[in-house]
Amino acid sequence: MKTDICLILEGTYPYVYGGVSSWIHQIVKAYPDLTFSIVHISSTGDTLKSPKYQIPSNILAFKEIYIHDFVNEKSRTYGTKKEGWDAIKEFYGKFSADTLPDFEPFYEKIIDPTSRRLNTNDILYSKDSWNLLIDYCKNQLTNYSFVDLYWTLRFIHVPILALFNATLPDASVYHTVCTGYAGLLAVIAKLRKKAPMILTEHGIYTYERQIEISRAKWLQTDMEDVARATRSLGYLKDLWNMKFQVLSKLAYRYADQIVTLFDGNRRVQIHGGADPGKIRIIPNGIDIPAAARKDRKSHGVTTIGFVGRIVPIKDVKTLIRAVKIVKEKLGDLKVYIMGEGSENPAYVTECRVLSQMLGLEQTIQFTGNVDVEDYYPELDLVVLTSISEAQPLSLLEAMSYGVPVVASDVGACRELLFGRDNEDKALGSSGLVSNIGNPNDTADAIVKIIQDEVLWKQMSRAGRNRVQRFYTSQNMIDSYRELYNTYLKQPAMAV
Amino acid sequence: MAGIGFELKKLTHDETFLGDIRAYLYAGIVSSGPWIISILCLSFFWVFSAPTLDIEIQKALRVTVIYNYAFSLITTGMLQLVVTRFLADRLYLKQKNIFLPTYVGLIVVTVVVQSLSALIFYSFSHYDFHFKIIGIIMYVTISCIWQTMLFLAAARDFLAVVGAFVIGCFVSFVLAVMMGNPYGLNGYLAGFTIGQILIVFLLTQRVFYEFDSIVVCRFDFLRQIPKYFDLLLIGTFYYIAVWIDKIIYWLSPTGERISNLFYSHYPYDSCVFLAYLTIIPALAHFMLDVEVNFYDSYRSFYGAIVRKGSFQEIETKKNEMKKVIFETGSRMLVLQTVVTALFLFYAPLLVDFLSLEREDISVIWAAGIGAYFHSFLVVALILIMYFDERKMAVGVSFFFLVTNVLFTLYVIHYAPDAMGYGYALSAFTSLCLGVGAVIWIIKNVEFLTFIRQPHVKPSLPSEGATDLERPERGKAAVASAQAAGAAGR
Repeated sequence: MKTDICLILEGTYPYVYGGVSSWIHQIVKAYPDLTFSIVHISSTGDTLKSPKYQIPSNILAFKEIYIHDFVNEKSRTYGTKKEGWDAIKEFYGKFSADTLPDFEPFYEKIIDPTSRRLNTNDILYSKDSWNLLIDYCKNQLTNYSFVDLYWTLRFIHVPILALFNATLPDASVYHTVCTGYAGLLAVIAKLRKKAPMILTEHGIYTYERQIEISRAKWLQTDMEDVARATRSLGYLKDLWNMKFQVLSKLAYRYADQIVTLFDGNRRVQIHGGADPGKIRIIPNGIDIPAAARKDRKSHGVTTIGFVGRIVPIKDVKTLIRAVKIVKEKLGDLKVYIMGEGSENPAYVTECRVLSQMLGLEQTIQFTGNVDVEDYYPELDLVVLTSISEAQPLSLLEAMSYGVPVVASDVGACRELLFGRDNEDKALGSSGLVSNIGNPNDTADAIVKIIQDEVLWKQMSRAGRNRVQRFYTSQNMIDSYRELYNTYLKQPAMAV
Repeated sequence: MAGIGFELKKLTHDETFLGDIRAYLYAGIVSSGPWIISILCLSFFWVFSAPTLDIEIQKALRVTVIYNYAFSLITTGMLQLVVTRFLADRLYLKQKNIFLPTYVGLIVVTVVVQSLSALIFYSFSHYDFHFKIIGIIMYVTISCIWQTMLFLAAARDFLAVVGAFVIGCFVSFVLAVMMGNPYGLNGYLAGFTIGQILIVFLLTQRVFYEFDSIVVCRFDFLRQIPKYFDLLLIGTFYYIAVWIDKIIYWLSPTGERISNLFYSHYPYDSCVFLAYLTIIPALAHFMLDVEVNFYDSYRSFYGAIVRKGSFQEIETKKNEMKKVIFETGSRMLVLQTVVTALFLFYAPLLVDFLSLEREDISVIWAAGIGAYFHSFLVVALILIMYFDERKMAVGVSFFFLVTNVLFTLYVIHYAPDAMGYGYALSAFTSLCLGVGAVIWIIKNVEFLTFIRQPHVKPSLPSEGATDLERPERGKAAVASAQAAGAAGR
């Protein structure tokens, strides 16, 4: 069965709440006349997962790929193995941080199931493969811990190999919502099915992985030989980063169209190797609520909201510390932390403990996953302290309800609050930005808005006007409709 | 079993001549284990009891003892490596308290299975009821000795083993002679068996002393059989291979039927058992060398991997290890060659001493040459097991079995004058295969060490699909493979 669009997703819809998931749900529901299939890449099939969204009826097929439940396949190969090893040497020998060598010979000899010279068994377990590794270690990595290198290189490649053997549904257009593994699978789909590929990148994948890698505990030293260990570990982290950079470069090269949310991301993509001519900006869009706040509440305590998953990248701890400072300055207030943290329960616990330690049990309420529409009308301010964001939907929502915002200076937050171009900037600012990981700065911004009634009103109005003007869901849906129509009609461009 | 090395080092440390000799003796007795001890026991029995006995009783006695040794070794040999590996794994996991319950379990299994099989076997015999009962008890007792030895090897307590055997064998010998005079065949057998039972008790007491824990019965080790099926095969093939040429000769036209059930082959049995004794010095020397020299280089090779050495460091350690293996092999080669040369040179004297026929000299030579290769074959198998290349050990031991059958049959049918050369040729070809395997393993040892690791998949909660995998488990796997390899002998 062939669908119009095949969405290639990674660790998101329909299993995880969040900006990207809501966006996908929104897109699929917006085009009931188009048929969709989904290929979802996740870590392992071990954990029982339940969809967090009601799957729309125009999603006709759903396929899971577990990249860590690797099954070794001794599938058929063609030609001589030597050609395969030569292709690998050629590809790996030439890539660097800046250049990505020609991928097609590699695809033909290693990935394409109708012509590959090697199967995954050869790549993982053969003596030839081992010799390649040894040459690499001998020539370039003298003095690095071999056991670490071995496992790092192996774990870097195993999930990728799992994608080589994946079967793909037929579709007229392959649309991936990030680079990384999903991006690679989309590239494979494009080459295998000769269909156009669209890449929408909300957050910059390589950047988000970089944050994760720098925080990865198992990559931290626990050895006697610290001097060597740190050097070696730095190198292991570089290898991981290099992997994701290469995957992104591949996706950028093969995408017929690259879409991102705002200009900051566009510049990062160009820096990461994307052709500027292929990039198009389509911001997120939301439905405008009928009623919006015009004034601050005259009664009761000041109420502040946080909307998002409780995960380290959102840096909820900085928010909690900021609340402590604000409470000291303004007296009583109420804070709702709206969102769930099932991805990282330990972090949720840490946040709760921190809140108790600071004596904020009565002030901060962890609501879990709630219908935020019930809360926005009650909020005086929305705060976001993330260390990485793309174009956060929660800010757009807050603004659409006329709630001013304090957001960390990441992603598109600055342009959402102050405006992109002159026309946009003329609408005024709809909030303040604060420095990442800085509770004092965040608290100052909160206090400033809460204490200044005139400023509050001006920001409330500016926010609502900006969303109505630039960020309605209709804008976004029209743009993607046009994009899909273009590629549904035309075959893939040559690279 | 690898731990024996540390004890030996203590002994050799004072560098006195006596210290060396003691260490060699213990190493020889413990490492060459059940097989050599049984040969020694048989030889003593045969040499010292022969003159005083009626010829028919002498034959019946000898053949009963041989049968009990042969079949108990083959049957317990099947489980031997599986149990050793099970114990080594538990030792690595620091679960020493499981040893005693496992020991009890193993003894229960052994007693039940061996009693039943012996009961069936002896029920076909024409001898009287008492003979049958004594035969069954002796069979079960000797089986228990082999099983107990496994545990004492794991306990590094070889002094206890030596002591128990010296006392037990002495008692066996004395009682056999004392009871044999008034009661004939049954008296000899009963006396011998009582001494063996004493060995079991002495060894068991050491086991209980070593592994002081609650006495319960556990059969977990049986569940390891599917997992370590290759170890079961190695033990089975090897022990059958060691005996199969004798069994073929027993059943050959020149074989001798003693009562309705037992078969024997007069010159072949004696010559081969005698030749086996030539293996002891060189094998003992090798064992000491391995424990004292090789094991260090082996550990530092795996240590270089686990302690995050660079590939160059790992390669350096590998080359050191290679060198040590080569030197160890060379020293053993010299010693074994000297011993075998002396054995062949003095063969005529031995023929007289054992009152064999003059023409049996060629059989002694054949057996001596066979034992020469056999001793290196044992070494090759030990090295293969050291590196945990179990499939190769299965291959080599199976090859030994098949060639021993084929060549022995060939010699019987087409070259009856070349008696014993079937075994010699089989040992030689198997040795070539074994040496080839060892060379290949050492050449590829880093590759094998890493590539054999299972693909551990991470199972941590993740942000999407992109959580980063944990290599620690891989490292743990390397470490455990190393420990297992060390204990895999």
